[in-house]
Amino acid sequence: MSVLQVANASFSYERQSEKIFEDISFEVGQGEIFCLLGPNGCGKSTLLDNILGVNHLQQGEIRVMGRDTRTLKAGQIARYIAYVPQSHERTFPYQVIDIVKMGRAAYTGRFSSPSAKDKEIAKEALDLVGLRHLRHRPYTQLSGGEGQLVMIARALAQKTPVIVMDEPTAHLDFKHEMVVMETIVKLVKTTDLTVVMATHFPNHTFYLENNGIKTTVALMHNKHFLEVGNPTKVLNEHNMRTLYNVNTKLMTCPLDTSTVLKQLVPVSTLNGTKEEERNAYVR
Amino acid sequence: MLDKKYPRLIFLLLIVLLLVIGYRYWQERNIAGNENIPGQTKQTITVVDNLGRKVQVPAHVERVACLYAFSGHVTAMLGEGNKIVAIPDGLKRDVLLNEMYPEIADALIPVAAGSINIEELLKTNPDVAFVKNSTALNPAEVEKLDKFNIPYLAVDYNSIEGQQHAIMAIAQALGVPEKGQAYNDYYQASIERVQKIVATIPENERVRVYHAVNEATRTDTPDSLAGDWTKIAGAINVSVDQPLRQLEGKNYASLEQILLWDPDVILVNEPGVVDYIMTNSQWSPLKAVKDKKVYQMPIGISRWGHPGGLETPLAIMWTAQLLYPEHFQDLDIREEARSFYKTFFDYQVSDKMLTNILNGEGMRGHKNPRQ
Amino acid sequence: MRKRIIYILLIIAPLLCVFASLFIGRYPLSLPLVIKTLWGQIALVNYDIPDMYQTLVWDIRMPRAILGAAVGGCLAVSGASFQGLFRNPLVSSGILGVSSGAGFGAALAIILFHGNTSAVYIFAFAFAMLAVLLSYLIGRVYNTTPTITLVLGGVVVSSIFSALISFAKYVADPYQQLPTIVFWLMGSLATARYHDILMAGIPMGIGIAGLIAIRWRINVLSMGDREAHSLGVNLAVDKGIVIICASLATAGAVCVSGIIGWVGLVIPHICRMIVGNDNRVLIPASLSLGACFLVLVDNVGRIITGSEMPLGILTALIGGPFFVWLLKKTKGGGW
Repeated sequence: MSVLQVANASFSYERQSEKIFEDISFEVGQGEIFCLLGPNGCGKSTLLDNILGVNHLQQGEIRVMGRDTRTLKAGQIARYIAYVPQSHERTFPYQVIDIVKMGRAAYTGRFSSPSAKDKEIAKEALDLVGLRHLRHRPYTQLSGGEGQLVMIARALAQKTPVIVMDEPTAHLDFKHEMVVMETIVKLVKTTDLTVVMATHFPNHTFYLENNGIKTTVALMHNKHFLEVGNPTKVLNEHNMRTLYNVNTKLMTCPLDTSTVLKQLVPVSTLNGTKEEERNAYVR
Repeated sequence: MLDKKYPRLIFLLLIVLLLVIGYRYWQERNIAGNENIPGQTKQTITVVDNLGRKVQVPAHVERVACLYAFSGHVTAMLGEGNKIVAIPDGLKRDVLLNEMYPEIADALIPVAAGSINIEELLKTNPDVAFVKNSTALNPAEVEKLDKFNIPYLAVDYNSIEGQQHAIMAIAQALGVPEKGQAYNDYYQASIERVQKIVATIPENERVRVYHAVNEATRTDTPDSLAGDWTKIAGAINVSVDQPLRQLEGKNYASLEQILLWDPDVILVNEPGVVDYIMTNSQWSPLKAVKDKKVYQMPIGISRWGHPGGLETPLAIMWTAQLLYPEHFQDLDIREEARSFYKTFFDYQVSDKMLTNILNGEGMRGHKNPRQ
Repeated sequence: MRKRIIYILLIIAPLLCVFASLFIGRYPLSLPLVIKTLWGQIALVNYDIPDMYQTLVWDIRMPRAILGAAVGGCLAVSGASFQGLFRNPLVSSGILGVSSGAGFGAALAIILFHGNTSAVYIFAFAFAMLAVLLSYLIGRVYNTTPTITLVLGGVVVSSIFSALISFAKYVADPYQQLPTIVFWLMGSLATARYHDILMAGIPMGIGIAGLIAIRWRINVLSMGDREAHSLGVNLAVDKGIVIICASLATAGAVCVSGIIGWVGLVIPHICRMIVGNDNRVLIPASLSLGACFLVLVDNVGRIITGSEMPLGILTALIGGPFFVWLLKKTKGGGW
């Protein structure tokens, strides 16, 4: 059974205005990762917002564990779907553990505070991302990568079958990008989570696939899905040209006996191939 | 966990607090209801103040809180200055007053910006308080005085008639109505003396006057004491009946208005303002400035002709003589002033001091003199 | 253990401040005399204390200290709550136009009813709440109320009511009404009566109780709309509760005390440095410290000069250096 179903989804901010996306359908099963790829402004985040219940579809429906999200209140959706934001604006220097405890809001009454049990759950979530030792630190003092792991821990504390991530590795340095990806792989493998993720890095999906996770990639283009399928099938030079207007080369190199490392390497942009421009860039 | 107990504890405390407050409020109401019953053993007299209130004042007043500057001047004039126990800040700067009654230096200052510090006032244990109308009309201020049964008279005015009424009310409260009457008689006689002569001056010979109150552009409205006395002195007060800008209860003319009015004479009651007007190029086009007819008004006990000044009769005579010298040749303002302070303050002004008074020099100390 | 001590301190400190201020004032009352006066009333023992002392302690100093504590607590708590809700440390209790709304209401009542005290309270309170409602309606777009437009709504409403206050001052009778308006706007506890405390106590109590109850949710709300929603918060309801409670508390305080600045902005920050940013502790701590601060400052105002110093001047003059000292001492305290 699929955990998350999206059927014939269409959305626009106002009734008359142009649709952001139209007639989109897909399903994600348990323990799978669904990656949304597409240029800036193609509507990835808006689609995620609809899944989270921040916005509501104009047509179609979204079901999580078989229930229509439209009929669920915020407190109920939060027990099915957790959210890891792209960039979190840190206003007040809360302690790390306090941030993670907020993941328990959906299970805590409006006029009460998290219980001792909630605190244990929060600590376990920190264990999963390996940050238990930082729990009393103000989270404003953490690095970008650690901060993103705290956001993931918070989502884990929500104990949901689905986590929605909006470009979880944006703004991270070389190492922490890898740390976050490894954490995601570990979580999906150990807890059978379902992840819906928007990303700007096609190569991340190869990485997930290589680590033995069932990964589906959807290319979002002109309000529709251009193609949906596993990374090897979907991420080819032709699709990259259509999607991003970028000429790419797919490089492969055997990593060990069973796996082949795949990388899409950008070569040039399609419109900007004029000699002088490229020379200027190279120089 | 303490977490859970904490709100409950606060809640309990709040309820206790509410009960205490409720009980006190109930008492507050009861006291208010019974106010008049406790035996009024002291003998009292009834005085009508400037708001028309009938106030019971002890027949023998020993300690007076003058919370409005004018009432301090009047109390001194009535010969009761040694009974003053509380004053507003400004009175400590009146040189002549302090010379007559050195004890003023020891009086407390329980009032600022129209608000009374009741504990400070209680320290002075006053029998009666003289206040501004705005204080008497402010329920919050009144309540403070009522809680301790301090009788208060509103003695603020904005006409000659009102000023005379205030003087009389203060005199009655202090048990010296005859002195108040004597002053008002002199006041009235001075007005009539000037009016009789001014009436003979034809309208087209009248001098157009601009009267600056404290600040160069602050001036008079029709319903003000200065509006009244300038008229009696025969001046055509240029700012009266003109639209003025109001700011915190004071009235200001714009410089353009003043240039348009182009008065023949400018009267100023604050030292320094004459210099300001005479040396400021913006004022230089004025006829009065070109003719050097910008005059400092005398300052004695108070500033002559000031809205809160006591020497209004002298201000009328001084101004009338200044504007129409040929009509007032037999008026010796110097002697008039000397006898004024002798009669009403029982104070012999020296020649030097008289000169200072008439020049408006050195009669107001600097702020916070700490003498 | 440390937590327990902090909580006990938070409860005891304001009570101590209120108690201490019964002994402080320009009128010299000896320590034993005040205690006798107090005990005589509580235990109904007749110590033959003159009526004047009774009135001084029970009807002048006591209501003033209690009102000061209540007002200080309210302003600080609603300031802290608004800072969390708007995710902006520079926000204070007046952000949605409460203060200027109350100011205009009071000025209007002074002009229309010649300063009848009850009318002033009622008008001040009603216009304070009206200002919040207007800010909310202005800030409302697409059926939601984003934080930024709400703040903008507050700014617009504040400036409109400020202009209306100036206009009221312009048309007020300069001799009788204007001084009352000006004095009211400066803020003062000098006229405190039990009557006032009871009247204003209802909104203040409801507001504070609501904010204390919902204080952990303010943590979640401070994560921003999208995240708070995905954490399971019903934004419209929870934001509404915080706004209504904080506005009730502020309006209740402002309508009896006039406009007292600084407390609603800086006391929460001082508390952040001492107890941290978790609203579960921060909100009660602000209540306690705000109460202590205003009572102490008012005591200084009562005794420093014979004529009372307006509160607004002192809160800034005393609070400012204290804030700087704390900032240096805690090295920013996690900011």
